[in-house]
Amino acid sequence: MAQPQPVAAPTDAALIAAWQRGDEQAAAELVRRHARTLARFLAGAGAQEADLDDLVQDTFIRVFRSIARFRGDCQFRTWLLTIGGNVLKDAGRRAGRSKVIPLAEDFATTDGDPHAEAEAGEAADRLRDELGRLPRMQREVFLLRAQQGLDYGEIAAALGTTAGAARVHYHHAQRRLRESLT
Amino acid sequence: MKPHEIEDPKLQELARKLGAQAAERLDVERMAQAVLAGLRQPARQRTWLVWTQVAWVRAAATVVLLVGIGVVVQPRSEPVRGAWEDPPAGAVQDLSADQLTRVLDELNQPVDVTVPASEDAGLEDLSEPQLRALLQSLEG
Repeated sequence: MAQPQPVAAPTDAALIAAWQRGDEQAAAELVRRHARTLARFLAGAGAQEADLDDLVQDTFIRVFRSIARFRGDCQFRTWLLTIGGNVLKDAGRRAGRSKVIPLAEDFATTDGDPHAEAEAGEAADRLRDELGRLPRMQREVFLLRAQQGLDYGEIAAALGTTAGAARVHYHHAQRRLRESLT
Repeated sequence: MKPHEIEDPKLQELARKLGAQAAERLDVERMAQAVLAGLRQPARQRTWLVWTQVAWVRAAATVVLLVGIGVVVQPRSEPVRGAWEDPPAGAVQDLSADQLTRVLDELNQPVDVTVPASEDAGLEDLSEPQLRALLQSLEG
C-alpha cells in the first residue's frame, strides 16, 4: 500500500498568485509565515511594542493592495520588510517623534547570570540608540543583513541599490555600531 | 577583505535578538484575521481618508503660503506725519548760511504769550473802585 506523499507547502509565489486570483486564505497564510519576521524587523528598526500590531497589519494591507507592483526581483519576505520600513517611517512622521522599543527585556533571559544580563541589556540599549541615529539606508541594510541574514544582492534588489553600495552601507553601519558598544 | 570589513559576530548576535521577544508575543492567527478584515474594507474608503488628510495638509500649507506672500508683498503704508514731526535731517543740512541765520533769527523772536490772570493772583493789584465793581458784579 502506497504511503500518502507529504503535501509540499505552497511557495510564496504560489500564494501570491492565489491571492491575486481572490483567494483570501492565501493572504492569511502569507501573514502567518512572515508576521513575526516583520515584527522583529520593525522592532529592530525602532518601532514601539505598543505600535507593533498596527504596523504589521498596515504593512500587510499595503503589501497585498500593491502586490501587482511586486516584480519578483527579490524574495517576497525582503519586499515585505522594505515596505514595513516605509510604513514605520510614515508612522514616525505622523507621530512626529522617533519611536524606539525598550529592548532590555529581550536580553534579560540570555543566561542566568545577572552580571551578564546587565551587560547584555546595556549593549542592547547602546545598539538601539545608535541604530536610531543611523541614516535609514544604513539601518535597513544592517538589519536586513545582520538580523535577517540576507545576502547583499537580495538587499540591493529590495532597496533599489547595488550590492556594492549595500556592502558599503553595511560596513559604515557596523563601524558606528561597534564604536557605540566599546 | 580588509580587517574593518569583517562582519562582527557579536554585533550580528545582538542584532538577531532585537525585537525577538516582541515578535514572539505577536498573535499570528489574530493578525491574519485582522489583515483579512482590513483588506475587506473598501480600498476607496481608506484611500479617501488618506486623500482627505493630504488635502487638508495641502490646504493649510496653501493658506500659510498665501499669508506669507501677503505679508511680504504688502506695500508699506506711509507714516502719518504728526504736527510736531521733526523735519528730515537733510532739510537743515541743505540750507545755506544766510537761510540758517534767518531761521535762527525767527526762532529768537520773543513770543507774545498772554497768560490769563488768575482770579486770586491780581486782587492785591486792584484799586478800591475796581474791587467794589468786582464785588458788585459777583453779587449780581
